[in-house]
Amino acid sequence: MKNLIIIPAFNEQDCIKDTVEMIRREAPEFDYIVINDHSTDGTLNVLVDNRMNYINLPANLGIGGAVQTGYLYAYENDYDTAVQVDADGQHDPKYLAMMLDAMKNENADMIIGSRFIENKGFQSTFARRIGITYFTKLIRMLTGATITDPTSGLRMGNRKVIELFAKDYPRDYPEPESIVALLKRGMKIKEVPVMMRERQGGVSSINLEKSVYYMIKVSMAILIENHRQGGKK
Amino acid sequence: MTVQLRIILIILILLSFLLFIHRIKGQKLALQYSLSWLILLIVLFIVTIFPEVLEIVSRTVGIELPINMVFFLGFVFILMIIYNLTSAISRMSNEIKDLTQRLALLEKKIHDDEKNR
Repeated sequence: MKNLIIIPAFNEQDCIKDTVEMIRREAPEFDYIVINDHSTDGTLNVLVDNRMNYINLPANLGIGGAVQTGYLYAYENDYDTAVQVDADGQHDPKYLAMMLDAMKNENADMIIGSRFIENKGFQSTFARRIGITYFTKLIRMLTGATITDPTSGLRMGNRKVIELFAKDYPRDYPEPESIVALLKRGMKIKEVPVMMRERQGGVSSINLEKSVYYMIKVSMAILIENHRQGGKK
Repeated sequence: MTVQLRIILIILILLSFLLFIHRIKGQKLALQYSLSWLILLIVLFIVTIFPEVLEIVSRTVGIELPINMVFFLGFVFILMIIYNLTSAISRMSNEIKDLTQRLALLEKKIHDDEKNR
């Protein structure tokens, strides 16, 4: 089994080193790749100086395009599973082995680390939880599946998911939309309880003014994805 | 349409047409994306020269003042042009994304090969 950790990084010079070291320590059975999304700070220097495994994007693609680069890398290098882990240290790598087990035992195509099964650890802000609940309900209404944490960035996919995401992945705010894409293709998604930490550096990609755009864009994307028949392009 | 307005319109249309041709010749504009502008200018030119055409058309459609027909036509054309631009931008942004990813993956491969040598 070849397992890959995809770490998208945009301006993460302060935490990328700690995150990668933690991954090497706590998830040694995984390979990792950092995708530097054309950071404007010293992220690239940190990656080079510490001889990390990285891909350097020559233009800023945003989170979706960066993560997709990781899936392309996983696809071309014959990885069996790929998992996204945020560079800012929100996601604890100790959960990865557990997620891998869950994937085998449940025979799932994707495992999502959810904050809202046991409701422990950092629970996000009140406003965000309202948004997340809304997406959970929307996805349940359209697909019948209950995903308690559709915005979680901690997601592990098998070869089928890697192949699909390498071909087609949303450009911005990809999580809820891509969940619907998988469910519509009959793939099985399971969630496991995790605790997340508050980010250790950097800022969330979603601020107050962007949240209106976020809600509208993701809602539209989910509705469109829901009416798209599998296998576009 | 008054004579003064027609003269002003004709001058403006001719100037814009010349500007477009000049920019296309100098390869500052791609003909592919300027074509709709040129067609817009030609249509506007025809209706300014032969306002009778415009009067017949506007009467059939139910627009009282022919000049409003000019504005209406211009507006429809501009919406079409903006639509074309939106679709061109969407396509290009996808192409740029694909190229960026391909380039980065190749660079990574070359880098790894050098290390393993």
